[in-house]
Amino acid sequence: MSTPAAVPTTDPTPTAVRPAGLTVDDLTVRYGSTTAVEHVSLDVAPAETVAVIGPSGCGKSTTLRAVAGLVPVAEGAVGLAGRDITGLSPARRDIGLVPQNYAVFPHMSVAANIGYGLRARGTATPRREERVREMLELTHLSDLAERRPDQLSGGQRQRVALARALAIQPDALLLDEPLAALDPQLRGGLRRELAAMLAATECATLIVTHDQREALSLGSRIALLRDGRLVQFDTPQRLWDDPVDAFVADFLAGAVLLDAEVADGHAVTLDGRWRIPVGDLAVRPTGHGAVRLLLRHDSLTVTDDADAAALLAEVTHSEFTGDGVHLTVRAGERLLGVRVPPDARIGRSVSLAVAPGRATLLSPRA
Amino acid sequence: MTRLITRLTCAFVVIPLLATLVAATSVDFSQGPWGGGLTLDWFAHAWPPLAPVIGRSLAVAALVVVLNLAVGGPLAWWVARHPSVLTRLTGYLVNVPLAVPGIALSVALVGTYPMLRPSGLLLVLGHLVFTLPFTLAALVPALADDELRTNESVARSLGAGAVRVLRTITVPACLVAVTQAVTMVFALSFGEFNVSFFVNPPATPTAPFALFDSYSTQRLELASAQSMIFVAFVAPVLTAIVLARRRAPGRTP
Repeated sequence: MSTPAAVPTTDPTPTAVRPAGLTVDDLTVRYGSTTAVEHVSLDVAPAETVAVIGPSGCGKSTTLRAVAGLVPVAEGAVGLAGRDITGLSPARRDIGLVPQNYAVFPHMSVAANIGYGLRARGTATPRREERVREMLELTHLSDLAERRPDQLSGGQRQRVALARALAIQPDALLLDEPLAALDPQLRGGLRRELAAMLAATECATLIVTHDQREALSLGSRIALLRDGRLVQFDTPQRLWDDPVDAFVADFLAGAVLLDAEVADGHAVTLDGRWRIPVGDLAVRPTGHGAVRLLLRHDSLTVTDDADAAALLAEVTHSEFTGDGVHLTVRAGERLLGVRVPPDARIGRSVSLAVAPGRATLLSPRA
Repeated sequence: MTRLITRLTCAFVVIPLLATLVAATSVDFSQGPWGGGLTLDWFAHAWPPLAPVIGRSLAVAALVVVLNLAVGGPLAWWVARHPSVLTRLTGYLVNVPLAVPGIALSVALVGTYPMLRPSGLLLVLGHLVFTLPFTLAALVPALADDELRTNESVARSLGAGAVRVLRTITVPACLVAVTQAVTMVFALSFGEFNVSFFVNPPATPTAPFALFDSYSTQRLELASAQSMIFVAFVAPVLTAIVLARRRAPGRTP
């Protein structure tokens, strides 16, 4: 499914039939005269994880806070488990929230943190204790039940916040930058751990992140926002393979998307200055209109042959990456990336060629 | 160097106190330290007339603390949670009494609210005006803390109502700030002289006024003994301020 634009507003009245899971319909949030989120629509099915991604200030955290009921909604509606929750207080939404700093209550033990929501909801003590025990086991915190938050590592605090949110058996779970507060060395392992714990839940999960890898690995679908608007909402594979525009290609994969056309068995791009035999390209259908050329870092090579299929470019920057050198080159007005071996001798200008089969020609379906 | 400055500062504060103690325990201080011998008789003479005055000052200070929490708490909440030109202006206005001489403040209060003077209410309100800036200075940063506000948001999302969030999240998080505010306000009110001197009826003096009167009209040894009794009452409060400040950085990382 590809959803490049916001879905038109549905009837937000409580009597409207709403799907299970979480739905955000035509959401607009304003802070004074500033519009932080504009006509964003997305949905999360029960047991599904959707990642909301975008650069700083794109409105992703505001979207999450609006779903949680922490900021007022100017337009649109939020539905959860068949209910319209747009006007409900945060306490009545049945949403588990894990903020970026985890917000583990510093004056309570791990067990008291996890049981906080159950106590607030008046859950009977035996049931509460049983549920806390279940959550401690799920998050591998049983041995730390009586510890205080200042005696825990960042990863352990994250698990406390997750257990606390899941303890109330919410219909939706919201995670704001769940791994951003952790050391980069720990993120890989904790990302896999988090994915395993989320897979064990039945609630609709919305993750906000600015980290592409996190979004690609945790989200079964990804909503990409820019300037408060939804740019593309699709599966990670489709976003990777068929980005709606150059921003999506660049932000998600660090790729370059060039407008192109096909003529005489060649893909022609960069105002006709580069002609590439179609046979050297992987050709895939696109759902987004025009013919475009998708170039990743491994799509190009530096060549000594200055033939017609080569592109002359000026080297603007080089960066050692351990297993190679990443060159940023300028061809006309466009910046492209190309990786060369660490011992390659590179001058101020290079001839670029497509690595056979590595670049993709996105062609509209006939 | 820092340690030397700290020790010199401590000595500057402690030496006069020790001198007062020596005077209070001397039979005749005019003959020099412990002239005529060592005695505790001056304390025995000082306590009976001072006891009701100390009791009155404690009652006034306790009332000022309660009023500070009742008025300063909501005011601090409003200033911290609704930043605007109006709240900033309120913050400045609350601090004005600190810059106004006590005599001017007292004359203004007595001139405006003479009917409140006989009951002692004007003294309490005068102390409230004088101490409110310290309550706000302690509570506003604590209530404006982003971490606290996130914790409150999470508590609300977990199903807690406003009262439960206040009781279980906000108050515990602000406990150090509240302790600081309470102890500071108590100490300021208990030792306040200017407003007490001008606003309070002479027949019902507060402790600082009684000390002033003793030093003016009684023997130095007796006044010194009264001073030491006064210090004994205020010392626990000052200790609590120090302990509260030590606890302040102990937050969850």
